[in-house]
Amino acid sequence: MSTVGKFRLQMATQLGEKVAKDFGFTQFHIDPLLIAREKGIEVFAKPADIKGVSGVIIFVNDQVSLIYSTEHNNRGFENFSIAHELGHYFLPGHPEEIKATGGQHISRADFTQGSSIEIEADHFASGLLMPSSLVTGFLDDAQVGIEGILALAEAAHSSATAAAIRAAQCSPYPVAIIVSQRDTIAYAFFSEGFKGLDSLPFIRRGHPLPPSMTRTFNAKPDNVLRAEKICGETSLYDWFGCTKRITLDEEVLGLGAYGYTLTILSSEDLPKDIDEGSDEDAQLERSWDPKFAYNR
Amino acid sequence: MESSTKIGSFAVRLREIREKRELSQSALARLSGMQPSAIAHFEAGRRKPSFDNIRELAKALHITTDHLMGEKVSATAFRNESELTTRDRDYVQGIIDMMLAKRDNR
Repeated sequence: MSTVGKFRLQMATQLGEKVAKDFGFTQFHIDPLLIAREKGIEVFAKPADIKGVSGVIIFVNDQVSLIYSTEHNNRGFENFSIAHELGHYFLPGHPEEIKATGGQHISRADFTQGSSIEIEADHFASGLLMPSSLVTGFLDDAQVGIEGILALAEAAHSSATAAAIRAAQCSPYPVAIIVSQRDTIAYAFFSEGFKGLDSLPFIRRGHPLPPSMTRTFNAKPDNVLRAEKICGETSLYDWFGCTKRITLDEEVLGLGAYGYTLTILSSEDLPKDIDEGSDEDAQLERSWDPKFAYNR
Repeated sequence: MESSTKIGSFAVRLREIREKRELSQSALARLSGMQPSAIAHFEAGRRKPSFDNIRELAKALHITTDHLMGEKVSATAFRNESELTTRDRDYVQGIIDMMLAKRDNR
C-alpha cells in the first residue's frame, strides 16, 4: 500500500473517532443509529427475510436514507453496516466518487477488489465504533488474546473480527489476526509489534493454512458452525517458517454461520513493541491491511 | 445565473452563491458550523466536500442541496452489491421512489 493510501485510511479512522467524540461519546458503546438520527438521516432496518446487500445509503436532494440488513440477527454486523454507511456521509470526496460511478456505487463485501472509498468507509466505521483511546484503555485492563477481544466486542457492540483487528491496531503487544475458511487464509492482519518479531512472509488471500491447530479445527465444519473455541501452543516458525522459534498462543474461534474461523496468535510473555527501529514501509509490505469484510 | 452543473464545479458555485448572499467566508463558516479555513479550501478546490458538508452549507445558505450542486442530486451506494437480490432491489427502489416523490412535491 502506498504512503498516500495508508494516510487516507488513517485519516478515515481518525474522522470516525472525531465524529464519535463530536456526538458526545466518551465511553463504549457508540451508537451509530443515534448519530444517523441526529443528522436527520432516515434509517430503515431491512426485514430479515430480504437477503442481500448489508447496507445502502441514498442521497436525494436534502434527504438522506440509510438501510441496513438485519438478516444475520447480529448486532455487531448491523452496527458496523450502519457505521460504514455513515462513513460515506461524513468522508470528504465520497460525493464525487459515488457520483462518478453514475450515482450507483458498486462495492463488494470481500473487498479484494474493493474501491478505496469502501475501504475508507470501513476504517471510518472502525474508528467510530472503537476509538483508539477507548480501545487502548480497555485493553490495558484486559487479557491479551481472544478473551480480551471478545470482551471488547461485547463492550463496543461490535463483531469479534472487527474487534480483533482494532485490538491488534491499538495493541502495543505482538498480535496476529488470521481469518480462514477450510484450509485457506481469507485475510490476515499483524500488529506493529508482531511485524517486528521476525521477517514475515507476504501472505495473499487463498494462501494455504500451515499445518496448525486452526487447520485441524477447520477440518471439522461443525467446529465452525457451533462457534467452538480452542487454544494451544504454536510458534512463529510453525505458522510462517521464520527462523526464530518464538512460542505463541494460538486461539481459535469458529464464527458460526459465516463459515469462517478467527485465529489469534499472541503471547503474554513477549515484550511490547520489541523492534521500534524497524523500517515501517518494509514491514507494511509484509502484512495485509485490515479487511472488515462482512464484519464477521 | 448559477450555471455550474457538475459536482466538480462545487467550488465555483459555492463562491458564486456565497457572494450573492454577501457573506464572508468566515460568516458562512460560522453559520454552517465549520472552521473558517474550510470554506476557503472548498472554494479554492483544495478540499473535497462530504455529503455532510454539502448539506450543512446548503442549510446555512437557505437553499437546497440540488441548488448548491447545480443539479438534481440523486446517488446510491450499496455495500456488497454483488449480493443484491430482486427483493432487495424492490425494497431499495421503494425507498428511493418515496424520496423522489417527496422532492417532487416540494
